[in-house]
Amino acid sequence: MRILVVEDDKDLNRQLVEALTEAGYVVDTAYDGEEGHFLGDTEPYDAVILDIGLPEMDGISVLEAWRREKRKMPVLILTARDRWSDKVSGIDAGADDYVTKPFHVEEVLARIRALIRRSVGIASSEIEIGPIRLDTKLSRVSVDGKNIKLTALEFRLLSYIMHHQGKVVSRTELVEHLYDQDFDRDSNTIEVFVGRLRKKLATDLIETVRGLGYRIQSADNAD
Amino acid sequence: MRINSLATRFLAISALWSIIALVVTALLLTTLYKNNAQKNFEGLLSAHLYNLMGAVDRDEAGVLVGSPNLGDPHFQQPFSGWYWSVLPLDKAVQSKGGNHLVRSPSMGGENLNTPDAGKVAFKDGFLRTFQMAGIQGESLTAVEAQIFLGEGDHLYRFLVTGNNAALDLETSEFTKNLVIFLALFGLGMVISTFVIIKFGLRPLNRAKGALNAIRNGEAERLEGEFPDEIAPLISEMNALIDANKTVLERARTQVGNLAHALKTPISVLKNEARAPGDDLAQLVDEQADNMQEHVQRYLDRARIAAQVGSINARTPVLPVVERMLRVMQRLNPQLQYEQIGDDSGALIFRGEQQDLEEVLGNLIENASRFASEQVRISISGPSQTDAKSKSSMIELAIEDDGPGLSKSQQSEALKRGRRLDESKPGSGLGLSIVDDIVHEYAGQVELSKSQLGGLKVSIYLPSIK
Repeated sequence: MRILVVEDDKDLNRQLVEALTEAGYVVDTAYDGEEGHFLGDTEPYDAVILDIGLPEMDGISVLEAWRREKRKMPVLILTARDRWSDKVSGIDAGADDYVTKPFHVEEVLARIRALIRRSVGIASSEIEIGPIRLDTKLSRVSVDGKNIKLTALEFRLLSYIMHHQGKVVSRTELVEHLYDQDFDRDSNTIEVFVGRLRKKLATDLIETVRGLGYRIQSADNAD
Repeated sequence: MRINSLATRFLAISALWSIIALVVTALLLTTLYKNNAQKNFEGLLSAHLYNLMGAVDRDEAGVLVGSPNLGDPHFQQPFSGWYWSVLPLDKAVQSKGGNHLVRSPSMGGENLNTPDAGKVAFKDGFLRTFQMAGIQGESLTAVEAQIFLGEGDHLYRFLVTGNNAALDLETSEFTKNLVIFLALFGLGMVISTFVIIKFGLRPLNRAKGALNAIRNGEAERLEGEFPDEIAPLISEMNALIDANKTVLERARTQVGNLAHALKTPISVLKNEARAPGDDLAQLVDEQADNMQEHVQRYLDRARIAAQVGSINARTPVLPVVERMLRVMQRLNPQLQYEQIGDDSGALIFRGEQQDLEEVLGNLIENASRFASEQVRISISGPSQTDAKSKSSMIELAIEDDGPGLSKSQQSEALKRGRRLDESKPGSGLGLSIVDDIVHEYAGQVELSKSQLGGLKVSIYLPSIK
């Protein structure tokens, strides 16, 4: 899961990045509207955290530009203005949710989790496929009730595939969503990680679709 | 005494001038009249005197003969003040007197003491006019002539007097009429001045009324046509009001910007101070909360202050409701939003769109938080049958199918800052903000049980027909 944080306040930006990274997300950051707009326009993000008051280009304009360009990722806006008229203009511009300042990062995390789930059509914060249980809130994975220790990257990989259950996920897509923009990408490493993951989970639920990518059966078909 | 009213000032000056002018006029007219009357009186007496002189002569024995008839019956009435007498200046002749021709019957045999020729001289040695006291002290005007009768060297004085009372009666009659007339005239002048001032200063009163309306928040500028003399003043005032408003709005915007800008650092502080059990962290967290409270208080104040200028605002209800529902649907895609009631779009809220959005936003957000599947919002216009105060109100009702509130919780819910369910996220201030805004518009908030099972919040807001 890859997330873009656009916030001009350096400290707040750092706090959000730290919290998101700790929760297992890959995070890109931008400190002004133009940079944020460019990243959101060119990179595939699973969600965006967007401050309204930004230098160079304000958040609402950034958001409107994305929506005009058919960028459909869920966007959570951060706003100091807590009047409904302000919230409404944000949501009318295409935001999916809002958090008013001051906030605790936990609240932002909760909203982001919900937004990502909603965007792929999953209702619960825990995703279960067969014996595998992924707790998005606590970033924990268990198989048949036993906790499995995963590295950050392995967790991201599993989480992404499970969020997109039933669909074929290509290696390029995985690379794009599992690494931040600065990472030297090599899609061959994905294969290695999938292999390790299969071993740790001790199931063969993740199948390889030759030439296309990977797929995990959706919860309904898994049993 | 300082006179602050222009009307009083005008009135005082005009009254003062009227009084002076009228008094001077009265004095002048009565004096002229009196002089004229005196002259006429003396003319009459002179005529009587010539009459007397023509009718009386001295025979050779030195006795006065003739039949003086002066026509006026007053000369017959005793002590009427109308007298005549013919007296020889020569004492020797006088002693031969006793002649009935010497005095008028009205004198009753008494004598009149005329002043010496030394005191009041005879004009050309012949005629003199003077004032004197009568037999009974009455005030008299006298005309006296001295002529020689008979053989030539016997000088006689012919005297005719008239009672000044007649003259005084005539002049006092005139003065009385004059004063009555002039007083009426003066009163008329004061009244007409008053009317002129009232009429002339009416634009000033209108300006006062317009200023009052601004102070009471019923108008934003001085409205209406004003005469050329004060039109520049009015337009200056309007310019001043506009400038004031601009300054105020700028100040308010800056307060808002400052307050909002502070929220980011407060966020940072609060997040940084998340280490449990750390004294410093706890301190920072508490102080950040303090700051947040201050910021919020000033934002609330700015919001309320901004509302005062909003008397001309009109907000169509339906588009706002639809917009809020669209937003809520986006925020809560799992819920079903239903809108019922008046959808003609004819209802207009007498107030700011921002306030209506704030009220609806908070209420629908609350409902969405507690609803399990459904939120319903109904709009109804002013009803004709309800004769109470709600008759010109728009009713908006927001219902949900959540757990709802008990009767005691309902009465508790509107108390400021009370949060009923701590487990649900949100500030908990929603209802009290709603209550504040609605009351600022003299509206009402009512809580009841919804047919859907949850809470029903009904608000009544003023409408424009």
